[in-house]
Amino acid sequence: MTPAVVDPLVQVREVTRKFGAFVAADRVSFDVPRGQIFGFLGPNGSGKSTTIRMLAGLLAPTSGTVTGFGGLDVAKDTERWKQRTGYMSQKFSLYVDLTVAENLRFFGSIYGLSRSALKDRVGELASRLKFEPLLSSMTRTLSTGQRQRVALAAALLHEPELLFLDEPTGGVDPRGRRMFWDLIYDLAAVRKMTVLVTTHYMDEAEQCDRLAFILNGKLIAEGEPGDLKQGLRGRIFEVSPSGDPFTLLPAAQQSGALEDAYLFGIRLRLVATHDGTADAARLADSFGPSQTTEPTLEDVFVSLARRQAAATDKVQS
Amino acid sequence: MIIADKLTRRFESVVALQEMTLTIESGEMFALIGPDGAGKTTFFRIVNGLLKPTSGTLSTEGHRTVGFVPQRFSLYPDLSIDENLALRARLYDLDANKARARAAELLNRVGLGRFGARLAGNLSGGMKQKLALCSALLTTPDLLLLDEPTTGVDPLSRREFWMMLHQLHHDGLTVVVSTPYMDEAEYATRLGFLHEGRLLDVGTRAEILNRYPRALVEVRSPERFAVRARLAQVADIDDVSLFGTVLHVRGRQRDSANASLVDIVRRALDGLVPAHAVSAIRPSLEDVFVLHGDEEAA
Repeated sequence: MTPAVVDPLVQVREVTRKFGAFVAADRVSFDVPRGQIFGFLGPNGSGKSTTIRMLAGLLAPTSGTVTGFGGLDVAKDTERWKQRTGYMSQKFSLYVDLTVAENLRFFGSIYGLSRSALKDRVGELASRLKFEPLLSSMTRTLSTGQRQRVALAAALLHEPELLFLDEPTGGVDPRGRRMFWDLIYDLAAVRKMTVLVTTHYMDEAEQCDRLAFILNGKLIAEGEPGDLKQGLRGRIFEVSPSGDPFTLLPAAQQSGALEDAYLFGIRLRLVATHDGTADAARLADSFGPSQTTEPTLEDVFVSLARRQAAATDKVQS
Repeated sequence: MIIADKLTRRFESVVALQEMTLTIESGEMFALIGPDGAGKTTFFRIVNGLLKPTSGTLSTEGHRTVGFVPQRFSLYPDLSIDENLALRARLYDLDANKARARAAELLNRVGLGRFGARLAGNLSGGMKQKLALCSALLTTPDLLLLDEPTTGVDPLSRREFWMMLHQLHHDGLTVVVSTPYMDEAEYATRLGFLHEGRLLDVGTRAEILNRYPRALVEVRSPERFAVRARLAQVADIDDVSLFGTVLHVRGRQRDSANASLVDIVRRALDGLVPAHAVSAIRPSLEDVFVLHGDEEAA
């Protein structure tokens, strides 16, 4: 795969990480474009967190290189690299028995910020990320959404150019997620920060400028959301059946014209095979009012994951 | 049937659940929706008998056994899949042979059949949830409670998990599930919106959407910031939220006879967004969720 990014901020080349016999990341190569939101998608356990941690300088690759920021190498210039990157872990990593302000002062001092600079910075971030009233609250009393905003602030204290967010909205409710993404969008668009983020929410993935799909440690697809959907365009039919859509599924799943059939909310979505669109359209009509619809990133994700699973089964049998 | 009557639970000064009155019929698939700290987990724990109400009553008439899939993975990570299920069978005093057969059947059904010897701690997020489901079903419950079972689970595993829930519901199991995914909530026979311990709205999807009290307009434009900046100046609009790649614009009220929100938005965005990229839309459950949250925060 030839990365197609002009003047990238970070270049990842042939990065592999093994844990014993297990290959968590397998010759992963891609470019992180400057000033954009780069999304990392993949099933649980596919190697996303491992890859992010290598890019953040928290885990050494078994082989391969990560370079960027005009000539730094994460393996050789680890401390300077960390000064220019921020990392927010999937697991909440603040101290629950400290107040919000105490946590931020503690993390800021690790990055070597002076007392007065830190005070200004904490105040500024608390106002921007909308948790000013919580500064003196015990961290344990915060909701998941509030905790995530404070954790984001901790990752931003030293004003990094590149921010890594590992599933920042897991367990956050829809309103909290929206608020969080407004902040991410603001960081990229207004403050020209580069953001690399993983998520399982496909509506969030839609907001990324560029996406990479990781499966079983391998990067299997990469590009802009619109381009990734291209292969599925015209092949997705959405049916609004009058009765229980679940009862229609067995018939749909047996059709040779379909690659996939699933429920989306109370609608039924049918994914036609490459040559099956005419038959799929007839089948969709027989179920109820139907129309072709734009593929979602979830369609792309599932299609890629299924293809990979089929390939793996073939190898194993 | 689950009948909650003025169900209240306090933790010191915090009211986790406040006079909740709700009936869930046998055979329903009921979705409980609400932000963090709304009281969903407290409700599940009371129904499951893990917690006593401070006041009010809860009865689970006609349900002999309850299966519970908690939000946090609570099986033993240092036991294998088979060992976890065998242990649970013993705790519930199930016949060992029957339990083994039932476990095998359940594991096969969720696609974990060949992983019986694998340590639970070494399973991926999606597999852990499937195991938790098998564990909850081992005792053949007629009521299944699931507290955000698909949070942190990837889309393919999430879809597979829901297909299993459908099948179970189809086979007659009563299912009560909480979820932050509104597309999952759509499947439910009825939904309840919880907020800060209070049940704000209960009904079928159609009933809840029909009650949505505002006008709603969709704007498709890459110029998100400019659109938002302009709409922020319009008094008739009280929220602009991003839904995937489109913006949902919410009016302060329903459309009136002399002003439709579409016209207001088109006028405000004149020269920036073409008229055809602005259209009236019906609300989704996610719009309802956002509105409830905003109203309560105000």
